[in-house]
Order: sequence, then structure tokens, then C-alpha cells
Amino acid sequence: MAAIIIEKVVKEYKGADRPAVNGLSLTIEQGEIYGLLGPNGAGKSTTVMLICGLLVPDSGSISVFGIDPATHGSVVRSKVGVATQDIALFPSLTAMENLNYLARMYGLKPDRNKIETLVERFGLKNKAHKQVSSYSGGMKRRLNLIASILHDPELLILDEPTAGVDVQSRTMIIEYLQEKNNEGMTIIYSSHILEEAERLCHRVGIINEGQLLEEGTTKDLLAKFNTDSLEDVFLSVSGKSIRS
Amino acid sequence: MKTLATIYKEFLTLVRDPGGMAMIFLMPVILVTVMSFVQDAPFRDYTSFRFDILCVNEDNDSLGTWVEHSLASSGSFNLVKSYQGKSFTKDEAIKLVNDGKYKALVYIPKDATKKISNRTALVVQTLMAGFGITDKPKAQNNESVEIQLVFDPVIQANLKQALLFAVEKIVAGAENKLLMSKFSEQIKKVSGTSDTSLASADLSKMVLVTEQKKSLGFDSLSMNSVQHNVPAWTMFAMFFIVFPLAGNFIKEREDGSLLRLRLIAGSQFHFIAGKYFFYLIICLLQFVLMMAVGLYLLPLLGLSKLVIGDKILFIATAALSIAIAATAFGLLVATAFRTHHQALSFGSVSVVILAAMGGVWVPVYILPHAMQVISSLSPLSWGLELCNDIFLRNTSFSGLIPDISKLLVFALCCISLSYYFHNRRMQR
Repeated sequence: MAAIIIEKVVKEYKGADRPAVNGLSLTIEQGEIYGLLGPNGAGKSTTVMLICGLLVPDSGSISVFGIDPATHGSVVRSKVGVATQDIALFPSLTAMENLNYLARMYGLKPDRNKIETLVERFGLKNKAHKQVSSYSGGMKRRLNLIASILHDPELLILDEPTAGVDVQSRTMIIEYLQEKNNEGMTIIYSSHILEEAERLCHRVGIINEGQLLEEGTTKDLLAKFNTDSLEDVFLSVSGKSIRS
Repeated sequence: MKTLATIYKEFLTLVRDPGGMAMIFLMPVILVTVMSFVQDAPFRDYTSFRFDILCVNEDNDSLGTWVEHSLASSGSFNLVKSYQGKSFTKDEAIKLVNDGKYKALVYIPKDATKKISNRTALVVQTLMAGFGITDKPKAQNNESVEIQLVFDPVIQANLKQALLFAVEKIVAGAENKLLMSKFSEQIKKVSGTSDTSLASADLSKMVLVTEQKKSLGFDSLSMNSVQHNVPAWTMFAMFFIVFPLAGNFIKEREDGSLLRLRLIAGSQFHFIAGKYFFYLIICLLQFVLMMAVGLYLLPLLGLSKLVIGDKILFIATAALSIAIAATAFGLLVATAFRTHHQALSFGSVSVVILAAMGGVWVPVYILPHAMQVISSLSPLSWGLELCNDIFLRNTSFSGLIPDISKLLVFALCCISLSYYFHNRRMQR
């Protein structure tokens, strides 16, 4: 069964010279890890906002677990966790305070054991009671990921989850995501680190200028473009020019 | 629970921000203390204010002595008769005033007593001749006495008026006294008796003008620096909540924290409500703190004690209405502007303008009529009027309802607009 069905979606911001998402169509199956790849400004973040119901498409339709996020955004968001590229935390609070607060905002009774387990799992135990403003970039990113899974979402969307994270932490995050996927969690993984996408994702979609240009398993794409590197596929599809 | 969680989160955020704490609590205390001191003198009425005036008395007789004595004992003036240990002439005294060293000069000319005495005698003789008691007076010198006042141009109009009225009153008293004395002399001359009751008759205070206080229990109270500045700057501080509220809100929007909450189903209302109620509580604490400054700190520093009456429920209702309006205004600024810089610039300037309009710097009643009309549009003015109604006018609760209603309607408008701006921004 499909977790997400996006059909011919168009979204244009007021004053923009072209739509951020321009007739995008894609389907993501339940239990799949889908790599959403594309250069800066390709429309990845807008697509995420549309999936969560924070933006309404100008045309086309979206279904998340059979629910339209444009009309039932709250229901969709209760099933979705998003680890944003920007760290979406409260810097003057400690990790524990952030997680306790967010758990309450999710409507959960803060489960101290669960939070402590996650904090320990992500290597933040020693600084759990320090203000987030004192954390390194990698620590903030790990905490940001914990914040997005507190409510055990069915769908997890990750936007550059390993940016600025050291190799050990990156490996730990990848392992954790594989573990959650094995438990049935659907994951949309957006990253510039194509090796990671190659290693983690069942399928990848390359989007540019709001359109899906290529989609398939890594193996199929490598065969189609007659290369052994996903990076070559990415450059062939999205072009070599630098994006603003 | 979500709203309470947000209130707690805001509490933690604020207590870890010493600068923010100082701006919210310490700065208003300093502001109200400094302003109460600065405006203490201008707020005193002239009868309780003593200022130095030069006196050149060339008369050296009873009128000059009487004027000098009366001015010195009036309690409003300190008579200065020498400068740097030396007495001065009229011209030297005028120069001292022109140089701004003193604010005023009273000059009593030579032979002032003699001239007023001659003139009074002439008046009495003329009157008695009219009754056929004495002969008509022979033609005499009918010259008036001219007591001159010289003022520094920068002197406040009310102080100028105070000195003019005081001298006129003193001279009128002297004239009456002299008149009765001359009558007594003439009667003695005609009748040969020596009745002194006429000479000692007191023509002053035949009509008493007294102030009837509106409210019993507030008899000794009048507007003073503390009574104006404490409520006025309390309004200012409460509306200045726009600064931390908008700053905090936009910072969270800019650094992505707000996005986290947007991604959590049904959390936004609680987030904004929690933020609103937290700053509402802060506003109320500011009110309590500022009242405590007026009640306890300013008297220790030698200023008057703030009088707030005993209607605590009225005060609490007024404080709550003002806090609701101030916090709603802060929320409106937070949602209406895109950047930190825009919101804080607009927020601070708008509060300063509303404060100026609302009579925070100077009481509204001394403003021109047009400004008084404009002033009535400022929520700070409504808040200040509420305080004056409770503290000074002992107004009944029904009398407070119009200003409370205005504040609540203002808050409702701000919250509605905030909802519109926030939703519009979230859809961009």
C-alpha cells in the first residue's frame, strides 16, 4: 500500500518567477526508504511542507496514508515526523527540557524512560542537562532527530540529517534509521551525501525545478546511466551548473 | 497542559536571559525612579515650592518691610538680599536676573511708604469730606507706588504667576491696613476719641475660598510627581512588553523553533496562548513591582508615597485589563512583522508615541485641545485614566467600565489581527 501519493502537484509562491513544485508526481510505498535528491532550490523543502499540510497545493493532489494533508493537516502531522535541515529546537533549554516540552506539545505524557533511552542512544546523555546553545552542530542535529520521532511517527521525513555530523554519529544515525525502517517506519531521506542515499535508500527520486526527473532503485539508475556512482547520475540529470 | 508547558518553557527561557530580565524588571524601576525625581519640582504646586528671588528694598519703611516680611513668610520664596556677600543695587540685581543666576527680582522703590500713605490719606479725606465730616482735602501729590518685578525669561509661567499674585495680595493687604489706619486717625481727629478697634479691623479673609474634596478619605491627596509618574511609567513598561514578546516570538520563528511546533499537530494555538499568558503574567508582575516602588522605594528616597487607595479588587481589575491590552499589542507586533529588526523598531517607537499621546510624559490636561482629543485614542491613556480614577478620584466600579471596555476591545482587535497575520504568514 502507498504511504504517499503525489499527483501533478503545482505550488508557486507569490512573487516567484516559476513554481517551486511544478507538476510533481511520485508514489512512496509503506515501509520504504525513499531518497529525495536534488540541487538547492529543486523544490524538496516545498514538497515536504506540502506532504505535512503546512502548504496547500495550487493544483494536483496529495495523499498521505489515504488522508489529504491540505484538508486534514493535523491528522497527517500526527502520523509524520520531520527532522528539518535547520535545527528546530529551543537553544536556551536543555536537551531534556526540549524533549519534555515537545512531548507535551505532541500531546504525550512525557515518558522519562523513553526520553532517557533515546538521549543515551544518540550519545547525548552526558550533556542532557546542558543548554542546547552549548552543543556542537552534530549534537544539535542528533537532538533534532530525537525531537522528530518522540511521537513514534509512521512516516519520518529527514532533511539533511547528517549534515555537520562526525562519521561515528552518522553511522549511528544510519543504523538507527535502518532499525526503525525494519520495524515498519516509512522514511523520506533528503541528502546531498549521495553515498548515504545509495547505502540507505530502497529507491531514489531526483527532482529539479519542481519536477521529478528520474526515479528508481539505485541499481536501476546506475545501470541506466551506465555508471557506478550515484553522483554521476545526479549530475547527469540535474546538470553541473551551480544553483543559488 | 500544552499551554502550561509553554508557559513553563517561556519561564525557563526568560530566567536564563539576565539581559531580558533586567529589561523587563530593572529598567522600569530605574525609569520610574529617575522620572519621579526629574519631574518632582515641576509637579510641585507653587505654594509648596520655594525659589530664590532677589529683593531690592529702597523704601526702608513700613511698606517695604511689610512686603519683604510677607514674601519671606509665605513659604514659597527665599528672599535674597546680597550676592557673594555684598548687597546689590537695582541695576546689579537686574543683571543677575538677566544672567540667569536668579529667576526674579522684587524692587520696592524709594519713598514707597510715603507715597502710599499720602494717597491713602487723600482717599480717606475725600470720603469723609463727602459725608461732610471734614473739609475737602487740598490738592496733593497723587502719585502711585510702582513695585517692579523682573523675571528671567526662562521662568515657568506658573511660577511667574505665583510671584505676581503673591505680591499683589501682599500689597492689597498693606493698602487695606493703611486705609483703616488712616480712617482711625481721621475719626480720632474729628471725635477726639482714641478707639483703636477700627485700625486693627481685619478686612482680609472676609470671604473664605476652600477646596471641597470630591472623595472623603482622599482629602490630603493631590497630583504630584510620584502620583503621576508611577502609574504613567507603569503603563509604559507594560506596553513595552512588545519588545521581549515580539523579539522572542520572531527569534523562534527565524531560528526554526516555531517550525518544529507547526509540524506538531494542534500545538500552535497552545504555543501562542502559552506565550501570551506568560507575558500577561509578566505584565502583572511589572505592575505589582512598580506599585511597590511607588509605595516603598520612592518614599525612602525622599519623594512622596504613592497613594493607591484600598480598592484592591478595582486595582487588580484595572491591572489585568491593561496587561491584556499590552500583551495583545505585543502579539500583534510579533505576528505582523517579518523580521526582528522591523518588529522591534516599530514596537519601541509605537510605544513611545502612544506614551507621549497618552500623557505619560506630561498630564493630558495641560496638552492643547487637539492633543487631548488625540490622546484619548491611546490605550496608555485609558490605562492611566483607570489608575487616576482609582487612586485619586475614588471612582465607583461603574465609572471604570468605559476605560476597561476600551482596553478589552483594543486587545480583542489586536488578537484578531494577530490571528490573521500569523495564518497569512504561515501560508506563504
